[in-house]
Amino acid sequence: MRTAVIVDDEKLSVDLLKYLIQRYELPIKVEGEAFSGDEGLALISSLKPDIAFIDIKMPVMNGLEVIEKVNAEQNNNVSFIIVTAYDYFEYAQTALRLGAKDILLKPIEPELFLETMERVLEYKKSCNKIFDQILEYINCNYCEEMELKHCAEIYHTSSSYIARMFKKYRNTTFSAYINDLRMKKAKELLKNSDLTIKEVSYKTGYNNLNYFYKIFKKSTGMTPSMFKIK
Amino acid sequence: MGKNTQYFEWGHIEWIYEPDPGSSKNNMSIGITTILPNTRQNKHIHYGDEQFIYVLSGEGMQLIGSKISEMKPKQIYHMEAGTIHETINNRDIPIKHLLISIPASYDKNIPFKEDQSEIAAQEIELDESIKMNEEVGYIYNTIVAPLNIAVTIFDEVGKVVIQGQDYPKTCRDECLVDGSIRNCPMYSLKGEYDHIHYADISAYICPYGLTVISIPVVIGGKVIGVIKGGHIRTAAENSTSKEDIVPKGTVNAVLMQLRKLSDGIKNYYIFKNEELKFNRQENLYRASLKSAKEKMLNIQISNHFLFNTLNALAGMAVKEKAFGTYQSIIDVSGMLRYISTNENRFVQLKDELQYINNYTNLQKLRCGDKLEIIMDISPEIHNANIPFNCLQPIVENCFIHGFKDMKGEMRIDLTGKRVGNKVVLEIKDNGEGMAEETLEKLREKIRNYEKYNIRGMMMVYSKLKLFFEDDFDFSLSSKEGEFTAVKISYNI
Repeated sequence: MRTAVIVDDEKLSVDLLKYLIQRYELPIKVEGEAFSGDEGLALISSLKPDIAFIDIKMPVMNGLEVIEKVNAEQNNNVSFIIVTAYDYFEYAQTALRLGAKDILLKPIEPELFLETMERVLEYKKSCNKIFDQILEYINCNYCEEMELKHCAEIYHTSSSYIARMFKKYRNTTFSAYINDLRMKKAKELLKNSDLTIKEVSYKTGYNNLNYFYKIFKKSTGMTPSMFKIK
Repeated sequence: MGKNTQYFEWGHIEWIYEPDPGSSKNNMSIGITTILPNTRQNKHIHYGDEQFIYVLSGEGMQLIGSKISEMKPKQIYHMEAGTIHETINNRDIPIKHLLISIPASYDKNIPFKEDQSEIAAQEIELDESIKMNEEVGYIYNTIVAPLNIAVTIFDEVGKVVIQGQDYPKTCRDECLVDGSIRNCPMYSLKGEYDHIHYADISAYICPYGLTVISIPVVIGGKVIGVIKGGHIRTAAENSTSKEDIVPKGTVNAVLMQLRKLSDGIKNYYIFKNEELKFNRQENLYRASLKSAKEKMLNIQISNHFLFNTLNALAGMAVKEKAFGTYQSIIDVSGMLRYISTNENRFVQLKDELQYINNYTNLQKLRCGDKLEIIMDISPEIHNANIPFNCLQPIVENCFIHGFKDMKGEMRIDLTGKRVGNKVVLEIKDNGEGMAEETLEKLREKIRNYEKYNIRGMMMVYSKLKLFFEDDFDFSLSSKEGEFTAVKISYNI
């Protein structure tokens, strides 16, 4: 489950987003709402949500400024989704520079909303609820030890059922899916953070550094340090 | 001696070659001049012609400009146009010389020659504001001034536009043209002699024996004015001996210069007319561009408010569990966003189809289940280019015309595929259709869209024309009571 806040000076806009999250049964819990830029900044700083939906034009401080200020803070890894009625290229450019995940134009189109959310969740929703929950579990806990058996226990199902679902919906295996996800995250961390290779290895669920090197080399064709300086 | 012999007090000129007056290609006149013994060709000026003389026989004195020389057989003289010259035969035998006379060319600074101009070749519709006026003064000065002959330009109601100078003594003495050039009887010809009746050059001999040439200036069948001038003496009849008789070559030269003047004036006004039309068109475009820009600005200012409001409405709709309303709000805003962000340029076919989708979704609100839209578009053309807003007007026409009085099932088939190197799109409804006659009329209207207030199908056609020039196909078919179909194809 991801946590989210919605920052928009219009209540109806907040309501619409909440409706859409519910309509697509997204694993997102809206923990707070704010109706101005400054309140939004305070809310994000205190709750440290995974996702923040944010309008641009708001009282006191505009959404882009809020993102800039949040980015300046430490220990924040918020995925921003800008929700605006402005279709200006300059805004899109600034949003991209600030690392926003996406821009949704108002009025929000349901299909586009789903596409954006799948990008943020980092997996496409299937039509199987249990499978979606397992995907969400993996995506939130990939840095922990991850076992098929354990996963089956949590969701009151069998290992073979989960294996079949991975074959059916993703044409892969449980462990390959996790490995791919971990490698993707490791690459991101190597590129975009100052963490050491050891730290990256731990953060992506590899407690054995040698194993991490081996897997990384296999996946990318180069060592983590080569990848970092490339 | 033949009929081509011109007689003077001093002798005669036998013209052995004369140019075809209808052709502008040959201008040269060749004659043999005979100057009788003990006579003199009085001091005269060759106004509009350049002359070459080769002395065949006889001797005498030749004065060119201020230079006197002895004239002998085999001698060659060249006289530029406008040079004063005089030949004196002070011997007992006639002087014979070969005379070659070529009209001088003064066509510098004339806008263009008729036969070189595409504009002049078109059928000309003269603007009402085009009137003969003093603007043609520069052409007059270029062509007429060097001739030193009297030429006056009148407008189409007979008012003097440019008054001639250099009227000869006869005109000044007998007709008192110095008081008013209107006193010249040749200038006040009325009725059947009025210039309107003559589309071409005509020449008159005045009561005092002077030749006055009249050339109308005609553009697109409309006489805008007339040039009258000359006042030169070509024969001894009615002579008061105040002027010399001019040789035929001079008459030809004057004629040619006046024709050149007429053409120059004509070309000037044709050019002015086109310029006027062009400017008017340009002003029209400017005005419409300005209003479009203003409109655009207004749309932009209100866009933010509009889309925010639509978003709030969507929020309200879902709160009230009116999910259909939410979808309709999305369709409306999809259309608005599409129109306001795209200009007249190429878009991808899939975007245009999305726009049609938004539109037909909204039409479904009104028609309900009676309306069926079948889209069958081959995926390989989804990213093909299409001029912005080319299909929706056609689909809209299905509703405006095809389904106007429909009570039963309404169906629109939109198909798109790639055939060879072409995108082929067809929009077909099962509506009322139209009779062959109506169809033909519509086709004609579309082909000549420029003449009409562009809407619907004509707009689509004009866009295709703009983007593809002639490299596209647009066909319209229909059967009364059955269907109407529009087919468009263009290179991918």
